[in-house]
Amino acid sequence: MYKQEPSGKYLLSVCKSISCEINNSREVIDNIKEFTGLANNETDIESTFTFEEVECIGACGGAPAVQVNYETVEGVTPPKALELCKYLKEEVPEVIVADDLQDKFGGIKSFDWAIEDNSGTSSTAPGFQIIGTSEEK
Amino acid sequence: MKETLLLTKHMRENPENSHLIDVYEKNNGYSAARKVFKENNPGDVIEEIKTSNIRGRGGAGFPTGVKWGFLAEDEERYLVINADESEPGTFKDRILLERDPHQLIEGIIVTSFASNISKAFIYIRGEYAKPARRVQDAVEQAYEKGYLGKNIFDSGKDLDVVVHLGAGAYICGEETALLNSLEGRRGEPRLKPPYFPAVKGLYNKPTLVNNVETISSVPWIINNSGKDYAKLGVEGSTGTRIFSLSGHVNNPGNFEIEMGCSFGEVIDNFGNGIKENKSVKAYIPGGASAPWFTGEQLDIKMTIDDVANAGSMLGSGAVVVMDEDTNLVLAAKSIVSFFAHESCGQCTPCREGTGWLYKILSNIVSGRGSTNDLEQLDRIASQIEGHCICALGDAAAMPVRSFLNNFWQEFEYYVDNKESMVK
Repeated sequence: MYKQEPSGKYLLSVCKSISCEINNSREVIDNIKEFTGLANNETDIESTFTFEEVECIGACGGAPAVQVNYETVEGVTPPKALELCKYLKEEVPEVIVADDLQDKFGGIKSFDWAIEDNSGTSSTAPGFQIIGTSEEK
Repeated sequence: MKETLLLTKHMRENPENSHLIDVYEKNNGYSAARKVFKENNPGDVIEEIKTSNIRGRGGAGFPTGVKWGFLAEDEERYLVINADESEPGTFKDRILLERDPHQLIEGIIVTSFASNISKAFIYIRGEYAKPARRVQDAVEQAYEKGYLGKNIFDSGKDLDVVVHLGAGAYICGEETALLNSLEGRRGEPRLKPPYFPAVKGLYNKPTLVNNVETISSVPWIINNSGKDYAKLGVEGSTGTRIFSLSGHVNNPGNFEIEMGCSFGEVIDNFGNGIKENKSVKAYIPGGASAPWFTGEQLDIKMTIDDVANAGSMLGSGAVVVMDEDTNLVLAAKSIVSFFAHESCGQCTPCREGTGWLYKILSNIVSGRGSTNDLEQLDRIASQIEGHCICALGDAAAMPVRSFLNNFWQEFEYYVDNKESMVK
């Protein structure tokens, strides 16, 4: 997660650990690489995409899994991965909402997400915004 | 065969809003916390946990009551919840964080009461953005209700909970590395002794470090009893456990079951068998660190001791199933690449060893390997094992030796023919 250079607007992290690996994540990686023209850990000139191959992101039941700005999308087949990239490039959404991307491009899930969630992230470092308890706010 | 729902009951019954404090309370939530404050006897709580015989759900399987029992005396003591779930194959903590964060918070309240702790940390891995938001929201709701903060439940006691995010390192799941990371240091495991953070932990103060699933079990044990909990499962592996089933099964997912049934039963019953009715070639019983079993070993019982006796470990309860058409050389490369990437670099055998395991396996995959390389893999693995500060080196070495032992033929075929046995 630590980056030595700024990421593009969308950080695409594709899992390559065991459950995803045996469920064809290599083809997902190839498709994204081909679409974006990026190798592992590269950012494009327009700063739209940063692509990285990552280790387990805890979505093994929904393999292969992809994260966009750390929002998890599960069950992303190789053709859906292409559509996901196209969507991000053409629609340029400001906020990434996991549920929304899951509906459009996802498939099998690790478990039923159940709770409707419209919160999302608008940055490539969602965890590192200020979070504190209500007392401190 | 059915699931036994203790931890996942509330989220199953209220799927759409199990994360809200009102809904949680309507379903008997925070009653365990109220109960312990009313009875006001911390010793009883620890006794109850000891009676339940629950063992840590993070991987090592250490008895939780014993751990609580030897927390050293000090003015300042801490509780740290290990939510740095990064073991490949595991996604059980994610469901508990996302869908039932209040159960965890209640567990924290009870645990803190039992051990006289007034500050707790929840260390969540940085990639879990959504679970972290849910937990943060839940903590804020609990503050508003007065269940956290000053004078909680009008008991005169204070408890603060801080949600902290990691920055994407598997090693920070190792408890002492986690504490270093929490202190703002580099996430490297500490030298032992002291063997237990319960003696010297966070900021050199006595600290309890427990897994999400362990602490989430606490409210049920208090609401019912340690004896009731110990009746579930089998001796030595009491209670239920959430198994994460993934790989080539028809129905992957988290299943909460009493320990004691066999892997084959779980794969057939809950996983709905293997995709396209294929047979199992190999499976991993407890996350990427665990040595592999073959398809002939499906009748092994899912208990901590049975799996250990068969030469592997139940670890985090992540079962990854590989069917007959899996290219095991590539699967092995994925495992080894994980550890090479996640080694913190503190101890030479692990830093260099995992790197060489990866390089040699990559060579084999690209068709430049020889039988000598396979022997070399085994030699390197044996030189990592037991020579490092923490268990990551062992976790990398053990699976390597197991897939070489169990599937030597397939690896040999690959180096001889420069292609896999399976198409």
